[in-house]
Amino acid sequence: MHNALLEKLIKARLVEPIAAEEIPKRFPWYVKLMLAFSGWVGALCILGIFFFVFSSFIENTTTNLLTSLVLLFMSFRILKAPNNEFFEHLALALSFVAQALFTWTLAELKHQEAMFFTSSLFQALLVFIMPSLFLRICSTIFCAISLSSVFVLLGAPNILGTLLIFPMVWVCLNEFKVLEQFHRMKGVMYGLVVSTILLTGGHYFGMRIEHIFVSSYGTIRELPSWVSHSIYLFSLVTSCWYLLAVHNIRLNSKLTTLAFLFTALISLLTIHATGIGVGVLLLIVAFAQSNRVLMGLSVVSLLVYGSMYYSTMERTLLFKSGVLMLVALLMLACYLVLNKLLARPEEN
Amino acid sequence: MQSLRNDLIDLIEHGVIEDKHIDKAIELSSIRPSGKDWAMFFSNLFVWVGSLSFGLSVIFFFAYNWEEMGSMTKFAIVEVCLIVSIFTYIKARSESMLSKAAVLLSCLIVGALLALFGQTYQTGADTWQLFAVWALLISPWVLVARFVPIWALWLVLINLAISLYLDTHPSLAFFVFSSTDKALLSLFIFNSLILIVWEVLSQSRDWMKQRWMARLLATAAGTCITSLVGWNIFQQTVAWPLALWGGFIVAIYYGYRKRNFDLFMLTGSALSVIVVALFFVMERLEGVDELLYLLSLAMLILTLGLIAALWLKKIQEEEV
Repeated sequence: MHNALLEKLIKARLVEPIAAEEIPKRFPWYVKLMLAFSGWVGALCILGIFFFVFSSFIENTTTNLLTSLVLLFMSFRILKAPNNEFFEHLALALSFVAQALFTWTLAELKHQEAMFFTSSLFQALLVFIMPSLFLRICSTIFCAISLSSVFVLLGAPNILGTLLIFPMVWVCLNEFKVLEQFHRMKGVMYGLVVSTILLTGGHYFGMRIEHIFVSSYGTIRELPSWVSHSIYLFSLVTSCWYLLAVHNIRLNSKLTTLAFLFTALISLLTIHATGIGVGVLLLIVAFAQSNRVLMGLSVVSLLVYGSMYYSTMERTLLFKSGVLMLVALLMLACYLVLNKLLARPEEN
Repeated sequence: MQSLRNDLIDLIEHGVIEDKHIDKAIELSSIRPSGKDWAMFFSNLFVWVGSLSFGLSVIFFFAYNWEEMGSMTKFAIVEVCLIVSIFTYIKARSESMLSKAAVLLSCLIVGALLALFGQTYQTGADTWQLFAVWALLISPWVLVARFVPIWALWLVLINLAISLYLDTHPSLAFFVFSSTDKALLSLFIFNSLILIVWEVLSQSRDWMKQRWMARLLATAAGTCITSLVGWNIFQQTVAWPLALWGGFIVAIYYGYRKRNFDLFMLTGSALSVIVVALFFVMERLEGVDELLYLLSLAMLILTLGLIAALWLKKIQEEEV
């Protein structure tokens, strides 16, 4: 299999030449998609048989729980064995049904906070245990959404999304830190990215994601909005600092001053349009790691947010137009400053 | 320098790189951009995000004031945008990204202008006429631009015009089939013909060599014929669609296995075979015991899925 990096590593004597022989060729994405389709249809038929035969068992909470654990175990065994995408998607379908059954069991719990918190713990455990990238990503997202429901019920809406910004940046920039945990880090990374985009991205189909299962109606006390705004500002500035630190840029340099100024301004301007700030930050972090998937995701998130922003009812169109115009002017100013700096001879 | 990120991830996932060599491997893979790359990136970021924000700001502002605007003002706004984009196309360097973006934007604005015309004057024209006239008006630009995304836009418009026309005129005399059959058959024939013409012309034109357009056309044609067969299986008039579908699958196999290898096309044809087989068995077993029904479908899809996976793996290895 041709791998340009492998050739460089062999040349630098960091890897044995025999390694090249052992790497199997992967299917391209469209073959994986076709096998995924077949796997899912097959899985749905098998699950149909299962529930048809054992329908009487799943009326009871205990048997629901046991059934979900059995299905999860089956899924784990299939995923652990070396196989192709077809069986992987079969296992994924089993796992999702198991998770749905388990969550249905949790609905018996009296307190909604306990239910969502247990659900988030369960999903976090699945991230750790299940050997599948797609499952890890989905479990991370479900964990974040469950946790955000807990926050909403406790009177702290719009908080979790802003809290996740810095962890998301940290994971993206440290994905290769511990090679043994690379598979987990990859799943958590993409899961955190999608969760942060969803939770800070405003409204989808007229509703905030964190209100998809719960409402804050009836909570005795709610945190004032300046709390989430402050966390948003702090998260962006901290992420900027960390990005500079990873690239060994001195704190007392001109570049650092400009970077912090840009970050502070964009954070202030987008305090009522957090999807823009998060999208721009994600684009920068993705570029720092040459991660085209993340770059694509951030571009899509910016475009989708731009469309959704039109229909949010919290502010008038005139206000939103003003926010966007100020962002455009900031970008233009930064472009002019950058061109001026690049035109100068290099200074220390 | 080109990043070798995917190669790095491949090697990590196969356990080829040891922990102690990861920093060196990251350095060799050029994942971390250079200062020059960062400068270029931020320059592009400021331009594109600034332009997008500006554009959205203008749209939001006009939307806020839309009800108060007269029809002449609305037309003036759209026509000024059209003139600016055409002017940009003329003045920009030939074949540059700016000129291509400008001509694509011009094509889209023509559609917006036609929609505004229809909304303002309530001419009573059918919807298909909007798409047909739109495609007709932008045809010269499509021919001149030599830009594949514009061709994709033009073909989407024609597809929409055909399907909406057949929806509006279901009792068209020269076809004897049902309206669903007519629409799917027409779209299948149209997209297949365009695919053949595209593949022939792309042999001698560099700008047409991008595979995604041919794959898009094949996907459109394949979806239409598979849907046609599926629909007729349940109507029990399956002979002629099945023959047509069989011919299509054989043609795809011959064209993309024997002549110009393309794994995407072969994958699509495998999926089409699986779907048609599934529909066939579903129709035959309708009314039979539910357990047997589900079991048969599960066995069929598992068997066909496995065969498809093994076959595609084999031909992929043969072609490497």
